[in-house]
Amino acid sequence: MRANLYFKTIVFGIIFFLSSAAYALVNNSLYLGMGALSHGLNKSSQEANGETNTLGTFYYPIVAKIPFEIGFDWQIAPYAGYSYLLANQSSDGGSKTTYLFLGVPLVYNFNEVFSVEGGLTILWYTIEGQGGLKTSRNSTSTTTYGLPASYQRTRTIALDLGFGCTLADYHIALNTMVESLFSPTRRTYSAMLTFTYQLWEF
Amino acid sequence: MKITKSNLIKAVFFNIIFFQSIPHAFTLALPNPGMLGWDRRPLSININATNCPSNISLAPIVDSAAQTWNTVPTSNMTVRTGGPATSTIGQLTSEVTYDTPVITCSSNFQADTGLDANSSSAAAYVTLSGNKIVHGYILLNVQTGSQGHISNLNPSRLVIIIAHEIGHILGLGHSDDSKALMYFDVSAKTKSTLARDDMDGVTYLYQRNEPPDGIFGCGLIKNQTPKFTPLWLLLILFPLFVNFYLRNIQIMNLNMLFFILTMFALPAHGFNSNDLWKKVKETKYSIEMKKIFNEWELGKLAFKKNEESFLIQPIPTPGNDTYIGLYAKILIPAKLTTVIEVLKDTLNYINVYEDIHDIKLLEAKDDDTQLHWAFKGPMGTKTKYQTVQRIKLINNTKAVLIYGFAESEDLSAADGIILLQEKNNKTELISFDFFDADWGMLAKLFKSEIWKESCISNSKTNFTIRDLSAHIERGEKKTNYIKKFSAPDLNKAKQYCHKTVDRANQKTFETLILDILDSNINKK
Repeated sequence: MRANLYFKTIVFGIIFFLSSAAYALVNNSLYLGMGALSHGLNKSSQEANGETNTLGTFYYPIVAKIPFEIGFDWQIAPYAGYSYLLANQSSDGGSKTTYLFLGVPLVYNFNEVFSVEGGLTILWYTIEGQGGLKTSRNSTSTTTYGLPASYQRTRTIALDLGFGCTLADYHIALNTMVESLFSPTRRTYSAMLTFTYQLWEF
Repeated sequence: MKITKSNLIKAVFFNIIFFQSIPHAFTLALPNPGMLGWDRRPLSININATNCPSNISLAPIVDSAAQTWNTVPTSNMTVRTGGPATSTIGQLTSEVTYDTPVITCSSNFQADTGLDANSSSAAAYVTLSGNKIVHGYILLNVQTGSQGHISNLNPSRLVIIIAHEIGHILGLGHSDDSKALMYFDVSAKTKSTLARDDMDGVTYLYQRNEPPDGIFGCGLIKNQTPKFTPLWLLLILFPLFVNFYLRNIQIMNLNMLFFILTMFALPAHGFNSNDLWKKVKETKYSIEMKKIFNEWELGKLAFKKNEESFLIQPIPTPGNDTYIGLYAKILIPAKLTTVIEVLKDTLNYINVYEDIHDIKLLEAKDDDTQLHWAFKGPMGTKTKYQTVQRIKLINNTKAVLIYGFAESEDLSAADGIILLQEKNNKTELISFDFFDADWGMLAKLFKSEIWKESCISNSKTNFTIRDLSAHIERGEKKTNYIKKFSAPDLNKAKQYCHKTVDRANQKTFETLILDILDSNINKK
């Protein structure tokens, strides 16, 4: 019964979705919105016992996207994101981390609603330490440790594969980024959901 | 705002989503906020197993523990098991050693470390020179009778403990995050995995840079003037070039080829670039169309009955693999005079043709018009050309518009003819349009795109003429008109444009005209 209800809901959702007025990503337009980047899927420890979780660490970048037409149904849609406004702050205020990324995916529009995209994305991860000292537990006593004091930035390149849909002036995309593709130990999968609005056509 | 259950749920959800605080609480191994890590890559942990229990094979355990730190995509540090070390604990504590970092076993753990041998199984120490780590060692507890003796631990627990100690060797202190491997107490852990906090720590100390500094010049700026090599320039310009080149495919190809050849290749070989540039003023299609215009009695032409409101087909171009000729038909819900008004309103073409950037009326005499158009090009208005067009009213219900390039700076062929016929207060528009098929290199790479691009572009123009005419017919202000095609129209056009053309049934230009028009065509 419940499965049947789920099925009906999904079918209704698809019908509603497809019947909405929709246009593919409009060329030479600025799309602006929000993203949720889940970095390191099933990679980092999410429990005290070291168990990992499907979802990684979340970052919330402001995202801008500008599609250009390069052929029939084909676009290049460079996008950039920066999580500066909603930077992840340490609980003790000791450091702040932000993601800045720039992707250049090739987009293929299946129809006026759905599209797939693939390309390379360059990610800059910044850790900004505030400095100072901190006393933490060490076995049965305590020890004083240093807190990061400098600004360090790392740069990685990721393979970016995504799926998008456009509803009127809104564009939703789900991208998967693969960092360190050729290193079995370092290879890291991340997912990013972006929701953007066509703000300006030029 | 009223506090309701719904608002409360929204507030909690919003807070979780947008203000999630991650405990990035990693610390550095020493009370020196400016400290950094090792200069070495990779970092080999050497093993002195002299005092270690013979039943524990330390090398694979250290190797597993080291691998834990090699999983961070944003770090460039690789930790691995090194070779056998000879440094004694005395040499390690007095920092007189050449095989650092070393892991070894201490049978006098409590005295060597100052830690409780019953609650600790390992300890790690690092030494700085300046702000860089130059020395480090790990002591494992093999103190007889102590509860922290490593023989009391199973191998997987020992891996976790050694991985934690390697974290110290890398330069990390304890974290307040219980999920972190660098949490002071790892007794709850069943897996040797890193938390975000650990990853941030090792990333902070050992940043990864892909591609390596120097390729884009970024890393060179600090120390020296960037070196401008052709590769450097090419990498910077390539994305721009690809974007503009592909985007303005029909217009741009010769321009870009010309630009590249003249800028780089040709001068080096002594060629004169002007030799490459030959304008073709008259094409075989313009000749064909002049024939129609001059030889057929247009007033007697009658269109074939076709109920479809929109149709687009290719016109075969013998000797050319690409389809550049287009026949399109569209039914406009407006009178002929209104459609002519739209077609004569040349300065408004900027709203009719998608890519027109600028337009000027050079000359207008009777129904002859000469226009200067600018298309969007790489620098905005680079691509310019002039067209001559003539609108001729055959009778009250029929008209013909013929156009061609007067002199083009970029295109070698583009001519067309539009036939208009009014029926029941609606106007049927039939266009024969010829596009420039010279796409240069891209004609080889994306042959099928020529037809599709030309087809969809033609459709969009016809939709705009239709919608604008209907708009005016309804008496609405032209200024309120916003060009936007409905999705079903565009989908329909795409269906047509995607059709695979049956080349076996190609017809000549003339037989196609006969097919389209009624057989009661009379020559003058």
